[in-house]
Amino acid sequence: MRIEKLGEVFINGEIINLDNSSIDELNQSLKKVKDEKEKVINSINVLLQEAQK
Amino acid sequence: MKQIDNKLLEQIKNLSELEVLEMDILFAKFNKLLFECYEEKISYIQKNIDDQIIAFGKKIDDYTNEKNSIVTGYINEFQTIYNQRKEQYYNIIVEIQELQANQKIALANFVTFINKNSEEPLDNYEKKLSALITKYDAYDAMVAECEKKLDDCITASIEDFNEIVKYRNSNLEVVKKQNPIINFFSKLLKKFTKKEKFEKEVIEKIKEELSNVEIKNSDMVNIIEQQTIDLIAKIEEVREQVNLEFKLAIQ
Repeated sequence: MRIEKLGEVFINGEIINLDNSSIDELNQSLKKVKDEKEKVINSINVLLQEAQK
Repeated sequence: MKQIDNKLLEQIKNLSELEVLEMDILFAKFNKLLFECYEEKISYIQKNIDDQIIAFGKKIDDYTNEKNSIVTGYINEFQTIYNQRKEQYYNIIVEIQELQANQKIALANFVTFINKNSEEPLDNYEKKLSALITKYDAYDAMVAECEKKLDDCITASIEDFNEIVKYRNSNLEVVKKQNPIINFFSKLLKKFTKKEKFEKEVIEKIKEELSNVEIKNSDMVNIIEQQTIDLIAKIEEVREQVNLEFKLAIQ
């Protein structure tokens, strides 16, 4: 069965090959990205609070 | 103020990049889960055919062409379902990305509004800010719903793969439940079965099952396509509702 190839991505300074990673490795990468997202969203919230002053 | 705008722009850009990354990883998970499921199923089918050939006292090599033809047929069916579910998964991701883009527009409008409208009466100012926050939160809820649909798509895909081998599974169960003594005599009898009878009872039967799978999958493709259309339509409907409520709130 042919599946769509996705190639490599860059996460926290590390190159991850999406096609060769195991489910556990993908879950770990997903967690790293979600943690980063949370930090960015918190920064956005702080900036929005400051903008309202 | 300009400094905050620039910082905000930079963080929105960072958020966009992380969201794209997140979707790429989710797509990779979808591929991996389905491929592992497929490998397990196709190995099972290959072994099942080999076991049947051996049980009838025949040589596996004598039936290589028939076996390859059947296995190729099954691979095509898995491919058909994967292609359709992949389209569904991809369409949901596109909707998530559009919702996330709408969120960023709401954010940008929020900042523009704060910068330009600090002279407005307080009630009006607070009403409009509140409407923007509600809009942003509504998009958040929609994104969360769509992410659940991604999980549902994976579950449904694995169920579709299970359906493909359902007939093979059920035949094996019937054999297992027989009395061991009957099984022994049955195996002994099978060893003396003529080639024509074996081909009729085993090979032709498997081909008939495959044919049933092809017919069922043909319907399944249409069902999945319609599911995708209905889902996208629902998301669009909710999006329009959110926009309408926002417009009413800021009047």
